[in-house]
Parts: sequence; C-alpha cells; structure tokens
Amino acid sequence: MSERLTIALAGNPNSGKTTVFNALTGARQHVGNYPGITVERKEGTARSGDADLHVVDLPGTYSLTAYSQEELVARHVLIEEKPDAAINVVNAGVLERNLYLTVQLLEIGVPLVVSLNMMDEAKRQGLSINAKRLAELLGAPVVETVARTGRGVPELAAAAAQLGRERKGELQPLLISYGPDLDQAIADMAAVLDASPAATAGYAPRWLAIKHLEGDAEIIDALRSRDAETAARLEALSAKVADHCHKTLGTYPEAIIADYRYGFIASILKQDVVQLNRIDRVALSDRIDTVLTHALLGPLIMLGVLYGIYQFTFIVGDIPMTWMGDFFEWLGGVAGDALPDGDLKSLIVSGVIDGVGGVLGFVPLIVIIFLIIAFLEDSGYMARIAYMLDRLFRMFGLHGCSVMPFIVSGGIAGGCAVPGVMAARTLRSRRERLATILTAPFMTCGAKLPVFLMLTAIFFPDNEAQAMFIVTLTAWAVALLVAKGLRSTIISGPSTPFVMELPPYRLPTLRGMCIHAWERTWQFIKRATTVVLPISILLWAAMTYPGLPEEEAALYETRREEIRAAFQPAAEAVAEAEEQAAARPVAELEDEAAEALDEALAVVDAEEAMAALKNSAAGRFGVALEGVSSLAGYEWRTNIALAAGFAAKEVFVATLGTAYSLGETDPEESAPLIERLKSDPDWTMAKGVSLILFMMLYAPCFMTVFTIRQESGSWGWAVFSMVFNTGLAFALAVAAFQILR
Amino acid sequence: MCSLCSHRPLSDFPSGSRVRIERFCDCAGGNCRCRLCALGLTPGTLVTVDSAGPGGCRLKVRGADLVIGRGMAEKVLAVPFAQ
Repeated sequence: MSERLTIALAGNPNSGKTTVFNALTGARQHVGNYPGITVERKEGTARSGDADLHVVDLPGTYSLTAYSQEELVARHVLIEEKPDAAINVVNAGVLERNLYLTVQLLEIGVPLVVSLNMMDEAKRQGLSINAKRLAELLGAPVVETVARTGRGVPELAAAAAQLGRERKGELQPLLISYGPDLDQAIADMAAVLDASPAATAGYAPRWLAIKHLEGDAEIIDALRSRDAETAARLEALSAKVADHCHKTLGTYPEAIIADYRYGFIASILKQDVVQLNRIDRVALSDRIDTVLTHALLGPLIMLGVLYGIYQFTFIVGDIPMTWMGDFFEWLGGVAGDALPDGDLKSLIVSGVIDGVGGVLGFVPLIVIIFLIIAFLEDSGYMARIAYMLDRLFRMFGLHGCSVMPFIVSGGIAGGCAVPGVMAARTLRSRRERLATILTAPFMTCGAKLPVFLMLTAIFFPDNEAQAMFIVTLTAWAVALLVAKGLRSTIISGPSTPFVMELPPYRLPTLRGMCIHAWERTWQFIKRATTVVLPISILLWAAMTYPGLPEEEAALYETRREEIRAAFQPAAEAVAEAEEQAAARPVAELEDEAAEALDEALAVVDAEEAMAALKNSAAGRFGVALEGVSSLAGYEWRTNIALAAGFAAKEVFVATLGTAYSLGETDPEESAPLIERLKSDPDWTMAKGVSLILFMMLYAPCFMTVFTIRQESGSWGWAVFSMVFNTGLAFALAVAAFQILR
Repeated sequence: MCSLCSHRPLSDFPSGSRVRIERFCDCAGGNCRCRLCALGLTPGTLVTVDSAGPGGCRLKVRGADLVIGRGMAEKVLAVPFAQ
C-alpha cells in the first residue's frame, strides 16, 4: 500500500529552493494562490519508494517573522497544515546566514531535513562542509544536493519520507538559550500562556513567548483577540524585559534573540563543520564586480550587454525562424491541395495553420532569448542589474525589484507579461507593486515581438536590430514615465527599502540553462496551442460569417461566367493554331491561355473574398471604427487585427495574415505577408511608427488583464489597465501619425 | 543627534570601510529591527561596506554579499572597526 506524506519546502531566496522543487516534482506541479492574499502557492507530487510525496513549496524567506506576507504564509503552513516533514533548502555557500531560517524551523519543531544545496558551488569557493557533523549538531538529517543537476535529490526525498514516517507529525522543538535575562522572561511568559489553553490555541507556549518578545505583530494581535486578560499580562512582561534590555544593555529583545540564534549557528559551524581552504572565487567575484558594478563603467557595460543580446538574437535567431516560416507555408500549401474548396479548407489553412504557424514560427527566437535570460540569472549578473537599476527605479517611484517584472515582461524583448506581473510579488509595498504591475505590460513581450519584427522588416529592413532596440528603449521610457505619473497621482506614497543578495559570479551549466529555457518555451507553446488555437478559429469564424448575401455572391459568379465565356474564343484560337502547325509547341500555348484565364478569375475571387470579409462580423466592427482609427492611420483590416490582438498579441500577425491571404486564391502563390504589405501603398512609414506605438502600449492581452485582476485583487485595476493603456496608446499613435504623414 | 559618540549610519561610510554595528536608530520600527536582525545585521556584527551609493548600500555580512536600500542602511548605526 502506498502512503501519502506531505512535505513542505522552505528556504531563503537564492538558496535554489525552486530548483529543488522542480527537480523533486518534475512536471507534476500545480500553481495556485493562498486565499485572500497574492502569495503564490506551488504544489507538486513526487514518489520515493512506496511513498507518494505531496510537496508544498513555501515562499522564499529569510526568517519566520511577521515582516511580510510570505513569511506569514510559510509559518502558517508549517504550524497549521502540519506537514509530515519539511525540507529546508540551504545555500552551502552562505551557510551561516541560511542556517538562521533553519534554526527557526527547528524551534517550531517540525520534522526537518536539511538540503545542503549548491555543494558544487561551495566546493569551487574552497569551502568544505562536513555534512555528517552538521547533521549531528543540528539534530536533523542533512543531504548534500546539487539541484541544478539533480544530484542528491532522490536521497533528499527518501530522507524526508523516512523522517515523516518515523516522527508521525510529532513536534520536537529545539530549545536555545537566549541568555539569563530573556530565558527567565520566556519561562514566565510560557507559564502564563500554559494556563490559558484559549490563548495558545494549540501553539507551543515557548514559541509564542519568543515571538511575543520579538514584537511579532500578528502573534500579539492574535493573543489579544483570543484572551485579552492573558495578552495584557504578557504585554506587561514583554514591556518590562524590553525596558530592561534597553536600559542595561542598550539593545532590544529581538536583537538579543537574533544574536543568540547566530551564536548557536556559529558554535555549530566552529565544531569542524566548515573549512575554508581558499577564497579565490569570492575574491575573483569581487574583482569582477569592481568593473561590472563600477559607478560609471557598470551601467555602460550593462547597456552594452543588453544591446549585444539583441544583435546576437537577431543574427542567430533569423536562421531557424526562416525555416519555421517556410515549413508552415509548405504545410498550408499541402493542406490546401489535399482539401476540397470550401469552409473546411478555409478553416484549416486560414484558421489553424496560419494562426498557429504565425506563433510557433517564433519559437526559435523565444528559445534563444530565454537561454540568454537563463545565462544572466544563473551567472549572477541579473542580480547586479537589479542592484544597479535600483537608483533609476527609485527615481520613478519604483523599486530595484521592479526590474524583474519588467525584464520578465519583456524588458529584454521576448518575455511575457503574465509571469512578469506575477513576478511583482517580490515587491513588498502594495503601491510599488501596483505601479509595477500596471506598467510592466508596456514591455516588448514575446507575443508583441512577432508584430514588431514584421513591422520593422517592412519599414526598416536595413536597420532591423537598431529599430527593435529603439522600440524596447521606448517601451522602457514610457513604462517608467507612466509609473512616475501613477506614483505621484493615484498611487502616491513613500517607497519601501530594498533588500537583495548578490550571489558570487559563476559559470552557468549548459544543462541548467537548457532546462530553464525549455520550461519557459514549453509554457509559451502550450499557451500558443491552448489559447491561440481556439481564438484563431473563433476569429476565422468572425471573419468568415455571415458571408456575402446571395445576390452579391451571384454577381461575382456572373462575372466569372463572363470571363470564362470570353476565354472560350481564345481556346478556339488555340485549336486553330494547332491546325496551322504553328512554330511554337501546342502545349505551351494551351498553358498560356489557361494561365491567363486563372489570373483573370483570381482577381474576381480576391475581390469577392475581400467583400466577404468586409461583410463579416469582424469586418463590420473594423469598418465601424474606421472613422476614429483613421486619425492614427488604420483602415478596417488593421482594426480587426488590433481588436484580435487583445485576445493575445501574437494573433495580430495571424489575423492580418488571414485578412490578406483570404483575398488570394492560391495559398502556394501568396507572397509572404511582409512582401504583401510592403507593396501596399496604404502601409506608409507614418502608419508603421503609429502602429508600433499603439501595439506597444494599448490594452494588455486578456490573459494579462486576468492576471492583473488576480494580483491587484480587484477588477478595478484590471479595467483601468485596459482603458488607460488604450487611451494613452491611441493618443501617442495619433500624434505620431499626424506628425510623420 | 548623537554628536559626541562616533555612531554613524551604515550609508555614511565610504566604500571599503570595515565597521561594527552598534545599534539601530530609534526611528526603526519593530518589524524593521526584526528584519535587520534576520538579515544578520545584529548589533556587534562586523560588516564591510562595499559601496554606499545614492541607491542601495552594498555590504558584506556573515559571508554574504547583500544590498539593502539606503532607507534601511540609515537606520543601522555603526562605528569604524580597527583590525
């Protein structure tokens, strides 16, 4: 019989906790939200021997105080959900600071396994850690892991399962001495709590006493509401100790508690646990930093790196992109030949293949960009970017941590605003988080990328990379300025402090980068097929029905008949020529005549298709908007495509493609959309610039809008983002068009 | 406010200073003090100030490379530490 064990995963930010979670659970993951708050709840399943492990990934925290929602969530899960065991992921390279959380976990008493992670990294830094000795001294199993490569992860799962089985949920709190002054107070307070079961509500009295002394607002409030009398006595005791500490030692109870915890850690580490042989790598990291985070050189190098990423992406990414484009064009041709004319053919070729092909064609580009992001993150440079940009972001009322949502959303072109908006969870202050959430969707996400690529290919064919670079910088400028505007008007208020750890530089492993890039690309593909395919079909329907009224269709049929009739004499002429044994081969003449007939018919077909599209649901919408949109230079076809882009930005290209290819008869002969638009006199430079601006800034796609609603906690902000962004986009697009035309 | 003693906020030390944390500013709230302690910035801890720019304050503390915002760094009072 297989048993089911719940395992909580705790650890500092930067300890590799997420990597351990991924290595444990693989693809068997579920992401949700803790009720009422915007902290992500990640769960997954793993197997170890006979046991089914249900793994709950707690938010990354430095401690278990009431400082942030993340810390509160972590300790609620540990205390109230009573997991069978907890795994504490510890970065072996900064053991001392990481063990601070470990000590707090042990103080709660939850069955704990320590995952001594990034052991390869620590060894390269010249650290040698005696895991066995550490386990003895902590009184908890310690497993060495390198989650990046998966080393030690099965052993970790086995150790957690075994501990869970042995302890059966029993708490064994670690007792640390906090010195004579505090120990006495803790004992007194615990005794008071012990007398009131109503106040403790199942929590350990000693733990509550310590938290009370630490000034934990949540615990103090909870005690007040549970038993006011006991709470008053505790507060009197607590205040007395605090006063004593302040007068005699010039310090605070929470500082003494932290000191003793660090003292406990130091005493462990001194007992032959850690040996530092060389510190070359840390020193090397410091030397690299004197250049890379130099006050003047640093930002210059950073700009250079960002620009280099563009050049690299476009030069390398162009090759497989061409292959993908050719493949889908070929596929459309094959399907077109194999299927009989009619609605089904139209659905498959124009709806499915064009729609999905338009998106999947950009997969190679997305792979490359995610590989680069993985390199930046894994190497430690991303943290430096956040550090260097904190000054800049602060000027605009944001936070250094805002750079992550911005970059993930497409600050380095090719992100996605959905995870980008979610990444804003790292921000503590609601005001900065809101400003970040609302402005991050301006960035060049992977879905806008195809649109910008197409537009730059049309209007700036010789300076594509430069044009794209300017597009990205413009997105940043607008996002920052709008953030500043929001922070000084509707979401004004002070900024919160910035805290971030800078990991030592390291050379990322190819495997780690590939896993990273693959995960994100796969997400994109899944979304492209699950969201874009149905929408593509829906749009095809909107662009096909209700079709032309019968009398109009009959009109086109009559024209076709006339043409065929007109060609009849020509065919007779061919027969005559045959009789006269002309100099040219007969077959050639026959072909020529047939070709001329086809061409003439194609013109009529194209006109009919155009008329049909104009008459369709989407066409009527586009035409209705033409009066307003012409101010920015858009005719009804662009309007349809832009409206479709609200569903998902990448659909813009697909829709425009469909809108134009519907007017062609033979898919095999239809020139690529770019060539088609280049030759269209309606597509002027002014329209291009105006369209780039509008595409950059208008309403986020509905997935992002939905995410904004989730993250901000109200539909109000979600609706605001649609209305405000579209208004801003239209104003700038009109301005650009009117100036440049 | 404390002109006689040599306590200065972390953010006021030049790059490369080796300092010892003395206490927190009285303006720091309980949650903020708790946070600083959890980050390893307890009174008595030795810290190397790597760069104290107008934005973040970069520190080496207990083996880690940490950046804290200027607002936070201003609340930590330290004295120069002579080796």
